[in-house]
Amino acid sequence: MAKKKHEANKLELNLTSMLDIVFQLIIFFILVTNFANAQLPKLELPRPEGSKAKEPEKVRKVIVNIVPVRDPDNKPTGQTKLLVVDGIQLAATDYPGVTDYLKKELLEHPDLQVNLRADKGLHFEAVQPVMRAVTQAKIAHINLGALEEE
Amino acid sequence: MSPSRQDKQHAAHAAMSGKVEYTETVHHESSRKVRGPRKMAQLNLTSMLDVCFQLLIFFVLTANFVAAEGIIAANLPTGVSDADPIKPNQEPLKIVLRAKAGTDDVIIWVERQPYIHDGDFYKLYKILEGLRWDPKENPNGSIEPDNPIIIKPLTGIRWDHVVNAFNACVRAKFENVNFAEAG
Repeated sequence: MAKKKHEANKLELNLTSMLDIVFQLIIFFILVTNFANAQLPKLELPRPEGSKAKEPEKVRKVIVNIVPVRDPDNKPTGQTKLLVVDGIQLAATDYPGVTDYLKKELLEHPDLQVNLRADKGLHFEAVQPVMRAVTQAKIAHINLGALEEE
Repeated sequence: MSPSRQDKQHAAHAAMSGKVEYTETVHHESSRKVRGPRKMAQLNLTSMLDVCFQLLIFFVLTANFVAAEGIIAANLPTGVSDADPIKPNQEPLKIVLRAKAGTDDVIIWVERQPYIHDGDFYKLYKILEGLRWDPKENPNGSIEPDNPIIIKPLTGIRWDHVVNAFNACVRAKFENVNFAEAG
């Protein structure tokens, strides 16, 4: 009799609502998380005043990244460390490599676009040879990567 | 005449065993009632909640909230491109970006305009907007929207400033913006 009474008084937490909230949070984080992409190395892109940057079109594009050299305080020095073209790492000065890759791609995709992602701390002298390498592949249309307005 | 306790027990036993015995009065009782009060089935959610918390912690730790990346379209000369040739009466407008000595700041100069010493690209945008000719919005403007604009960054100018200058031109609705050689 005493045992029965004890069982009846056993405290049970109702976890259903808590589980609902946790599921909501998980779904939220799944939707907002950007998983690392080999084509998009982590760079600090420029955020221009009154940015006119818009979402890229869904066409075949080659993403050319310019990764800067950083000092021990993690500040970019202005020089190029390496180039990452469609996830392929190239040496900092391998501009002919960029041109060759783009020429090959252009044969298969005549409407090819190039997105240039350069760290905002780079000097213009480090970016310009890459732009020239792109134009040497007879691609005039370059999209400059920048952050959209807040 | 009320049934005795013995009769009741006998009848209950008979009901459980499925047999109906002849007695003076038949007391039919539900087998459920005999088993006791019904218990509500409950799922044990504890382990599921554990897994969910693990997932939640993973996503909280790995999520990084960054501003959306976009693009600003630029058309650069390729040498053999189908870019518009400069019209005879159009003279390119130069924007010079010069680094302030010993700093990452920039001094902006638009041809025939005063210097912008504080590197404020909003001021650059306002100057360009004032210069752009538009039959309705700005009939006093002196430069047509398709007039070439050349951004000339001097040595040591950060890409951030160059993109800012380019963006100011695009924002002021100029269509033909190019970069000069650095230096």
